[in-house]
Amino acid sequence: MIESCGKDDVKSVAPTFVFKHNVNGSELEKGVMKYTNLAGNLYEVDELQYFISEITLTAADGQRIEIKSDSAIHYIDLDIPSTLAWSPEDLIPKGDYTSISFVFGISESKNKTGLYVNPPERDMFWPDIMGGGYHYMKMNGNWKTTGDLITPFNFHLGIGMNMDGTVFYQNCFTVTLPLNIHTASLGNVVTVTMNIEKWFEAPNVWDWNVIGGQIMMNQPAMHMAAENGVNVFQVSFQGTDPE
Amino acid sequence: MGLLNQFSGKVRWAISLVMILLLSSCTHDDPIYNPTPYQITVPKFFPTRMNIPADNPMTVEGIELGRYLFYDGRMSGNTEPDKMMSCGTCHLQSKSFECGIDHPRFIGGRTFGITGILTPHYMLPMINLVWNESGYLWSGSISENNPNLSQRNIEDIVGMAVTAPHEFAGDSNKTKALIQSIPGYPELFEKAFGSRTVTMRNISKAIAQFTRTLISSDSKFDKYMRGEQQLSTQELSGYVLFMTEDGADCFHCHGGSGNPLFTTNLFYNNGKDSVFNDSRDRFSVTGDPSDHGAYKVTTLRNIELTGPYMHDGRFKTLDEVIDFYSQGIIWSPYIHPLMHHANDGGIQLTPGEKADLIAFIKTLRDDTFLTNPAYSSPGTLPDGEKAIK
Repeated sequence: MIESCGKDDVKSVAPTFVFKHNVNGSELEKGVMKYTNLAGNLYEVDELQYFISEITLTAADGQRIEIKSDSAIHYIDLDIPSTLAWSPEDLIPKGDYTSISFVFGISESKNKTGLYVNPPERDMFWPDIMGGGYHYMKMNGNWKTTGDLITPFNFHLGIGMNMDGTVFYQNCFTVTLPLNIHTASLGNVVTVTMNIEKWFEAPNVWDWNVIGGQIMMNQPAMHMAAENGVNVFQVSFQGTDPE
Repeated sequence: MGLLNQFSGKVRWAISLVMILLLSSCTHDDPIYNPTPYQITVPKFFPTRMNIPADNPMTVEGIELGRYLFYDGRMSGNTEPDKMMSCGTCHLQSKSFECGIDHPRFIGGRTFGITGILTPHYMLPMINLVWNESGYLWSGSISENNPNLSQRNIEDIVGMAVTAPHEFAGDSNKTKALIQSIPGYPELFEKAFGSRTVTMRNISKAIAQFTRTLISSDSKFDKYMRGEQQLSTQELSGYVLFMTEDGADCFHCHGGSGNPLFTTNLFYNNGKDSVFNDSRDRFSVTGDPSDHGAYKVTTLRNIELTGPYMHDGRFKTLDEVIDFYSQGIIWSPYIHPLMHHANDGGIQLTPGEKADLIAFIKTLRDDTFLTNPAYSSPGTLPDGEKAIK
């Protein structure tokens, strides 16, 4: 927690973003085939890596405060604990905020090959011949087919393209969530929680037996995933003002 | 009036003595330890973050010494010709610092130490190691996460090679004493590390520095990426296969346009087996059941020269490797989900597609690296003896 002024005169505060992942309220257990989606697919998640960017808090008076540290992009990887909390350098005015929004993935203007040359972010690169830039997300796991075959899925999102590679689609999307908070002198932890199951529920019921396990080259499927993605996140806030 | 005349006789004498001592210390012929910093030039598109320990900064003098030691068979602690061994005995520049499948001594690429004991695994190439942050060797056991402080980086591997029964099978004290006794080396150690006394730690540091200079960034594909050279139609077809999920989908593990190292340096079970009992796989390091049968992804740079392939050398040719990924994948509970054709036995390439893919992979051959004189045997060692070639 950084305070810009003395204890009695805090005007700006430094938020911390914490990223959590669950399946319908229960903390995600990696590598355990125990989840069943709405389509009835039994599945497990082994790896989860994704970007969120352009986190913006909207104040009660309508002012929008965007987090701009680290190019406004944050990488999250279940296998790298240090990525599960982000304390950007930005200070935000202490006050009342009514909503939070962020881009899932990286928006078109920033999503260019070469943005990252170092791992782990580098390893999210998306082939140039498919539009370039970076995967928005890699979720790798397995599902059990109707024939009881354990089969890999690679739920990867990024720039889509048409069949002949002449038209590209930006599949990143903005998530906006209500957040009625008063940033405090202490804490200011914004917890962003991804409910994995929501990727497979609405508005598009996701059935791997129909869609298949790989979607990088399947723009209609990636579009469906992006439509579901706006329902995937919840946020909560914790902050304390000394009495 | 001179400054000294302002003081009494005894004080003048004392001041004069101090000045004499100061002057004599300035004119004494002790060599000054002043190594020249060596800055790695990061090739275009390459990582900017490098794995260089804070206690072993790169210097011109350290690299020069490391190159001599890399190619000096007396690193084994022996001077008898049939008992000498150095890094360069197995790590051949012409084979991308592996021994190659056609090595006259290591038949079929199977390496063994001085006493004939086989190495646990086949070799890995020594290319672009300065950008490896994920652990060295097939299991990645040599990493900053290793609780054993003496098994964390390339420096430590050098020390291990000297004593390992399947490598030099030596005695570090014997090696140290022998190197100390060779004319020319004490001076080189002094220039590199400020002391004429040879230590195993400084031997290891010097060789590690040299190893970190081994950079491949000038293959045909690099030139294509820099806009200097075009790929052929067949090579481009192979490139598309390499980079697409519906094609061969090599890029998720082996990199490509967004990762010119052509490896993520991470660890995967790629579907070679269904039973796993190797005590040196990734599971042996992490204890994570999903790491059973997982090994480091090798770089594909110069891969056409580095057969046999896989940790156990089971594939002799690139054709065999491509056949394996095409039709030979074995499903197991531990196979990585990126091997998404596991239930089909592989990616099912046609003969034409296999040829295209291999044509592309061969564009990763870097002859500039393979012939760079800075990486080669120095020919003559500090005392005039011949280096290993």
